[in-house]
Amino acid sequence: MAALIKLRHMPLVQRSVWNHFNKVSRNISTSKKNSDTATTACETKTEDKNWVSYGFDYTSKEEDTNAHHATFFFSVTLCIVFGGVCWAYSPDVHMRDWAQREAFLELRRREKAGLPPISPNFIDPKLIKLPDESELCDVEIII
Amino acid sequence: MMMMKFLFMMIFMIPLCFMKNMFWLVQMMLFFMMFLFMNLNLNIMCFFNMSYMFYCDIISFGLILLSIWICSLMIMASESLFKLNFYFNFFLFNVIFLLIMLYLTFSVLNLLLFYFFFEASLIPTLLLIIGWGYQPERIQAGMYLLFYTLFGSLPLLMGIIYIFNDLNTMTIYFLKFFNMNMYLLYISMIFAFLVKMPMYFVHLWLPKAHVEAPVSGSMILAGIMLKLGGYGLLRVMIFLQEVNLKLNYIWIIISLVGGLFISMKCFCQVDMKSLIAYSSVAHMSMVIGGIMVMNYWGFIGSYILMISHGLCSSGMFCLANINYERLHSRSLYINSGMMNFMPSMSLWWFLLLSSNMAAPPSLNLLGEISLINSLVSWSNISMILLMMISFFSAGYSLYLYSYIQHGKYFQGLYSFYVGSSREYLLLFLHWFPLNMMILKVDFISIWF
Repeated sequence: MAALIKLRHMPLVQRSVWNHFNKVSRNISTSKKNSDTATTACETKTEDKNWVSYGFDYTSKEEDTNAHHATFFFSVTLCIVFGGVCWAYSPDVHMRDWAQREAFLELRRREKAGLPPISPNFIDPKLIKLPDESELCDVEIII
Repeated sequence: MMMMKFLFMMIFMIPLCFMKNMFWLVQMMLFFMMFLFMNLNLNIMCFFNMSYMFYCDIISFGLILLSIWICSLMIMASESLFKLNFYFNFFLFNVIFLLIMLYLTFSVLNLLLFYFFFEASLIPTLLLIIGWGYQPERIQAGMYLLFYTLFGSLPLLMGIIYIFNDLNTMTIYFLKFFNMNMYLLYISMIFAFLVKMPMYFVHLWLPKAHVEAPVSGSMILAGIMLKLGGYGLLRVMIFLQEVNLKLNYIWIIISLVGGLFISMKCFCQVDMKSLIAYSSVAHMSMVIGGIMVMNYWGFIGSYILMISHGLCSSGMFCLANINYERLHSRSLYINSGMMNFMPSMSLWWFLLLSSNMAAPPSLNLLGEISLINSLVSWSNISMILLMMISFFSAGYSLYLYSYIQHGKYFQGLYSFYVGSSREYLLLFLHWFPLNMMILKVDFISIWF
């Protein structure tokens, strides 16, 4: 019970026990220990010493590398590679290729049948309304 | 909906420009926007994305793609501003604002709005030239740019208002049903675009502005601003066809003969950027010829040449700037023998200059072939002029390459950085679409 009340001195007790044990196990030895921390001056990693900038930032290597990676990704990977793939392999835009194929097939069919490539009466002549000669006398002929 | 999406993406990138450490993020957002725009709009054979005031058709689509691409490459090329901390926030704002103006120019339905954004894109260009240019001559260059363009575009404004008075519509899509048969209207409408292209007699602003601009200004001027003139001509020709058939020989002859003189003048240049600027005038002279002859191959050839010239000239200005950043001089005498120091860069000089002279397999070749076909079909005599222009363009491209790369190097050089990965990426991104788009040209060449 008394020990419970004395618990508030526990940090003090811990500290005194710790000091005691340290004093007891004190020894002097000059051999190299695992517990010795290195005390040499910190060296920069060799890769940071003479770094060559990518051209985006000449002061900070990290920003330069970030800008380099991002710029190449957005410009080359996105615009050129993905964009190029979409442009090159986009399916028949507005059915242009289909229309050309159909046109060639139609031309071949007509050639085999002996017809002219396009008939002169493609539009029914009865539907065309031409102006009279009297309306046309002033119009200039441009060739 | 689709066009608003991209417009708002650009508008909301503006606050991003002013935040700290966002330089590369803005560039990457522009690449992402390019990716989205390219792949969400594959139905380009007709007018698409029609909305209250926006639309897109094949010409607009290609030129908007080119603008977004060149703007993102502009930011990549201007890394030195970021390094030297020279108002790069405002520079980014300028670039995004210019991109918004160009995007709107190419995508609005209303002719008056087109004019408004056409003129508005001059303001950020002027700020770029005067704010970040290198020499004191840039003030004069800015004045030349501004006043040449404004001189041409006041008649355009009057013409547009006259059209509205007459037709009660400004929608570009509906103009093809009309035929305005007036000479004064014709000249006033096309003069602004001829100044912008530029045609030979009104081309003086171009060597000044391109040379004095910083690399980003040169890139956007050569890449897109010249094509605004071509785009305007393509749109305005629709309702001016009858007068054009009577008067086009004037513009074709002036631009082709002028292109010949300019190509010869390229051989006399000492300044690298000046040579590239004059070569732009020579290429654009062929584009004007192609649009004015009004046949289908002419339109196709001029459009392809516009896109390919945008990429090629912009890449050459990047190369000139890469040399300039190291040697602080644009002179050909000082920039000689570069192959001794930057042999990898001579690969890019070669690729872009060979595209410039329309060597296969570049897109310029296809454009020039189409243009030569269309101009020769219009008149056999233009064969002589075209032959000379193509020959001299090959000549000065080779001259530039061999002077810069081969030979003895300038003895006053000390040491400089070989070529960073960013610079190679910049040039690769210019060259790759140029030489690879020829594999699937029907996205930009076949209009129906």
